Amino acid sequence: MTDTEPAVLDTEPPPSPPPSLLQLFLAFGKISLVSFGGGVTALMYREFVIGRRWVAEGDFMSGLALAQAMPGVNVTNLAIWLGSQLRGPAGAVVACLGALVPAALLIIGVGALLHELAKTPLGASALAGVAAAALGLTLAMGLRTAKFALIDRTSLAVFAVALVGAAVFGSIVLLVAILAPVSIVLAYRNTPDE
Amino acid sequence: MNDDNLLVALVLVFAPLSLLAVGGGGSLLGDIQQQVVVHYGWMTAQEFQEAFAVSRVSPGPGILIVTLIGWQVAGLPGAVLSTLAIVLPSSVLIYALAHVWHSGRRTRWQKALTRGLAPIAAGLIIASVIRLLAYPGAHPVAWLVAAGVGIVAFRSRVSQVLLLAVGTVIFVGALLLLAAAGAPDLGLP
Repeated sequence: MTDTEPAVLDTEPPPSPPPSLLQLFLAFGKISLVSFGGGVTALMYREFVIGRRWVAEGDFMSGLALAQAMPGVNVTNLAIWLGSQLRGPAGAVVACLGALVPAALLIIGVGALLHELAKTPLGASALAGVAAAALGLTLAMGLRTAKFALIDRTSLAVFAVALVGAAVFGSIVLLVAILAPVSIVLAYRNTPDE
Repeated sequence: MNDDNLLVALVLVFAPLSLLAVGGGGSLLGDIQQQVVVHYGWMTAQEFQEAFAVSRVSPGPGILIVTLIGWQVAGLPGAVLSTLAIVLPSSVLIYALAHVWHSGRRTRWQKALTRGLAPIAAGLIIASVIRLLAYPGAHPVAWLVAAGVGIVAFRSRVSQVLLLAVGTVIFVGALLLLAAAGAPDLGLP
């Protein structure tokens, strides 16, 4: 999560003609399949703003801020936002499918393969090792988010409640349903009115 | 549980989580494990750990672990419905907001939204890591590897692929060494 301020206003016309639905599907399919772990956002920026020039930088940054602020997967959120900007409702659906369907088929295949591997003791250890290392990467993402988020006593208190509550109870439905509105209102009161 | 009830249960587990995925899918891992392993018993802790590993070596959004769980629990209908359940609610929300979220300078409410949700996301992500490491039968070496990789990834710009590979090799190596030294088996498969 980065705090991004749009540099350009939305009055600037898109630099290229809008893509076809097939182009949208393929573009998001490609982004999704070459993405690994984090860094998807930077990939999309290079692809859509610099490479294909489907969207102006300021608009992309604004959509990215929306995709990251709202719940949901960042990649599909941004796909829906960009797809709808470029090709309306059909564009949103197609871009989102592009981000999901090829990768979903692949994960089922990879899952079947690795399931065979896990039947040997060494294979099982290797998968447990992958899980442990991957949890380290997730931890780093949590630490980066914390570094960005913890700016005052309120955010620290909200962080502590979320961390302890989720670690102890596991289920987060009630926790987030109560904590999110409270935290947003507190953040609103602590945000200077410009 | 018959097949229809199973599909309904999958949707009821994942659909609410879709709207709670603040900061992305990483926030949800602990809750998903709780539901899938502890509450419903659809998978063993071991199988869940395996699905998590698969979701991290296969390209694409990490949330596709839900697709894999749906596939393993209830075949193709399970995979399709679980994916739709985790993606559709937040997608409808973002589609509705795409038209009111203006470009240009962000308003006070928009800033408050980001600022208010970020500490929750951070807490949920770190809690998820703790819960996934604390599953019954987890090896203590896993904690060390996760902490080591986490600190290096946080502090440096080393490639994630490289860290994943090195972490895995260290984990397997440590286990083999411990076994060779005659350490008691600490619950690995």
